[in-house]
Amino acid sequence: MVAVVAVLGIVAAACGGNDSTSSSSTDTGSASADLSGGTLKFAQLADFYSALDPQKEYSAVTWEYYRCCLLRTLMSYKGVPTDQGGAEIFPDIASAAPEISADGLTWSFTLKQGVMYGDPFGDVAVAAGDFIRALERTADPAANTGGYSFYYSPIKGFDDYAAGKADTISGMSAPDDSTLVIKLTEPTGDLGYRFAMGTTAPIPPNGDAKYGAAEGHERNYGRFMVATGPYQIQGAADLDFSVDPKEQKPVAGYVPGRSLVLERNPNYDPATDDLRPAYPESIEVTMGGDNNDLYNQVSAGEIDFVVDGAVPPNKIKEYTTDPDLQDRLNVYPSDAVRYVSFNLAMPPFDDIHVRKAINWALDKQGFRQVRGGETTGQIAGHIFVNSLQNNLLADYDPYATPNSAGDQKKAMDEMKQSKYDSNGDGVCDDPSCEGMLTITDREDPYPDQAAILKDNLAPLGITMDVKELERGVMYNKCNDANSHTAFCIGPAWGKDYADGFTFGGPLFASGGLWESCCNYSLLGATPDQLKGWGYDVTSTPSVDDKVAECSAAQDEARFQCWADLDKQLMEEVVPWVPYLFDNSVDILSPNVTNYSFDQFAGLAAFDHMAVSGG
Amino acid sequence: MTKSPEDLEASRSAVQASAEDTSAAEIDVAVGKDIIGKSPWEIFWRQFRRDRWALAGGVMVVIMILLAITAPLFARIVGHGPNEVNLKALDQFGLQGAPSWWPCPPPQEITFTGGTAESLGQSGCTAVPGYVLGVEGPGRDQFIRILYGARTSLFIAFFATGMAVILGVVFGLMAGFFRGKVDTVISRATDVVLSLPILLLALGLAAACGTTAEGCLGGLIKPGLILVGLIIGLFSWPYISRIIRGQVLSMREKEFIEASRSLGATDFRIMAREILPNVAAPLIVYTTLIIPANILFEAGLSFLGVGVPDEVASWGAMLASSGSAFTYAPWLMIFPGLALFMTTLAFNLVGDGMRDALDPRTQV
Repeated sequence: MVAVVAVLGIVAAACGGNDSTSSSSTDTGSASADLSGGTLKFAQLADFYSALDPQKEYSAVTWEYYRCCLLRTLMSYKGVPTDQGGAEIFPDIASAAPEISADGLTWSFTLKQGVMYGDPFGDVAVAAGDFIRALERTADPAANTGGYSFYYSPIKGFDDYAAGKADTISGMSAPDDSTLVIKLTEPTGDLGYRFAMGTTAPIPPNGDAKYGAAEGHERNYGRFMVATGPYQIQGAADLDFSVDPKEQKPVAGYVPGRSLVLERNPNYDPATDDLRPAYPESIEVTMGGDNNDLYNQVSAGEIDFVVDGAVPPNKIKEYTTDPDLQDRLNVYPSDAVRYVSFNLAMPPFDDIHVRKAINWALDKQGFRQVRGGETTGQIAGHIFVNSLQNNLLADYDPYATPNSAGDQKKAMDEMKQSKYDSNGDGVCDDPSCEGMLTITDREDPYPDQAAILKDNLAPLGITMDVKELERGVMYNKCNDANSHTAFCIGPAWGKDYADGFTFGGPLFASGGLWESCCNYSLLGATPDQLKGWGYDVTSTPSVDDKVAECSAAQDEARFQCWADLDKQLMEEVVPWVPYLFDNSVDILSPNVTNYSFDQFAGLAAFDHMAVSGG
Repeated sequence: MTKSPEDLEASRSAVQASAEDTSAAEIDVAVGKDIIGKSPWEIFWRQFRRDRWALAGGVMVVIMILLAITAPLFARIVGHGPNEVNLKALDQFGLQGAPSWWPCPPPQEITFTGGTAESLGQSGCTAVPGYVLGVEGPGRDQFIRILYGARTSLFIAFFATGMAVILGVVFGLMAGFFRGKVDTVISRATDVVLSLPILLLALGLAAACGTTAEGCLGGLIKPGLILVGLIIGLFSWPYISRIIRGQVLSMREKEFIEASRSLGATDFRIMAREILPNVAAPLIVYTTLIIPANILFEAGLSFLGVGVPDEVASWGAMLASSGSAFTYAPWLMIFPGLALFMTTLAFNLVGDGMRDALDPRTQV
């Protein structure tokens, strides 16, 4: 119970520091019959990074599709802002909050009755063993590339299973179909949050197949996914799991790179779910297109919402300044940070003074300006979003410059201390500073941000070879240690749940290194790993000990520990230049009659969006 | 006996009046005036300069070349280069400023909730002093980028077209002169190259070789201006090759070729000294007509994002990013579009004029 109190305490404190800015209506999560019906039309610039596979997908967009619509989990969220409880978890497939042993090492979940799978497993009820199946697939290196399996290492036997040393995860058992027991190697107060993420969603059995319906689909289970949420992918009824996986035809409603259609799951019982209003009858998603063109279509009412595109500056200006349009503009802090990352295994970024110099030089105000100005967020002076540290570092900015526009003199003074400035003139004169491989998103405004960064770094003798890539490709390249990317411009990171571990763990601990996600700076890499990836540098800084310390801390000490790690990263490690605490900025078509912001994913809550004509 | 110029002129008029169909040369013979032969190039120039449109095109080409050459001078005058960013030339929403003379509506202050505080802003566009053609991208001077874009276009015009001409002439000469198996091989190779989907190849190369620092083939293939020039050059030579081949086929049977051969001239000497000068005229014409096509091709590749990198100014790339901004920043499309249009028009006019001037049926 101590652990439960700790978890609730963390949630309450995390909720306290946010201030949200919004100008639109929200609802509390209870379905209203008047709002039900209709078809939501979405546009998405980029396809899913891993074809919707729950064990691989690690992005806010996909997580929202899972939470709102496709996959129920033991615990889940209401899809509302923080001040309405949006960062708290509630029982979803679990009938109640878990029972936790006094030592915090045993968690027991009791399942609700009557939670059924979607087609073609409509007559199969979700059972406790189905969660074990999902966690085994989460541990399987063949299935979890790019995912977040490191979150489940505290489960006894999880790492042994992942290493092929065991046939099962010894710490997970299902005494009966309604009871799941999880034994841990160490107290993990936020385990409930970890069982609110899509990778833990149950997978139905299929004969004797070890991974059930996911068997044989290591690369693309998303195209064969069996739903548990209020929606399923259109065409799920035609999936045939009786044939060999190699002969199974993928679901018709998801055409990678082209479209996704969600229809109501006929086997979903709303009586078992008080988290999701599930207003729309269906959701049609088209992929691709030009961002500016898509937002013009939103304004014209031809589509209702752009899922993953940044609202163009001219639209921000239009909707911000026109009283008739302001109701269709929604601005919320998304608990995400935008940043430029360094690869610390690539010279000259193996020198902390070069990294610090770039922190001084980068024009953060300019980066925000080309995104659309103040509406898009607050200038970031450090890495962790303030809500994860109870605002302890709200005023902390070790590289503060006038108007956050960068300071060339301070940058050059820092560069003078670098070994790559041999004559101490503040300009890098090593060949490694020329033509540095830089990856960015090809959509606006990232190319403009790359141009600003080039301009900022030219006086320091640093030149960039910029590659503008499609978003999914960009993230893969930034994450892939073999790509030798020096700079990554364009990434953003949102909390996985309201705890600092969701920043510290995946971003800076060695558990987030390739082929896991998302330690782009290669902190904590071993010499063998670096050599295997083709680097001459033999070591990078590690913060694994600090991350472990903070993971074990409780209550206020936990907040302070993450704050201390943040300071250590900013002053002693310098893996990034954080520049913006991001706002989620949405504009809606005139057809949308209800909207809520999902604090969990940092996006609009799709199941709360109602469309007129429904 | 010699006659005075006035006497000559009077005689000329008398003869002309009595024989309307008499050619100028015959008139000159009748009045005893010395016949001064004109070289082919003088004849060409006389014909060419009579074509006002061609002259105008030529002037435009010269102006474009001069502007391209003096682009750094203009950059020094305005105080910033083509890639220098000036965020003050954007408004607070990051929108590009208008040309200094653009008729923006009177500024109207507005208050709005930006982030966490009330902010003051200004509706409508903002004319920026010192930016004569407006602001592009993250605060770059569009005028300077258009001037530097002329360099890109000229590079493509001369490097890519030059490569195409050299390859086309060599293969066309060999195919037409040697015939037989040589002609068969070269002609089939021409057919293959013409069948290749150049655009898809360019897209594929950019995708395959454009995401790593090393590029492909040990760095041999890296996206950039050189690669764009190579692609255009390597895929536009077949057009010239076919034209040259046709000219050579008709010329190789002429008596002067036979005469050269009987004097012991080698094949190479015949091709270089006898045939090549005689195909120079059509070659020049087609070269000037291919130049605008190649310039447009580079613009198209840059428009699709597989052309030159962002730091190399390109009219095509500027047009690519201007489409979505047309409703609120039309200058981003108007001026690069005009530059591209005027340049290709100029080369087309020059090419047409040269073709007319070199056509013996129009010469007097």
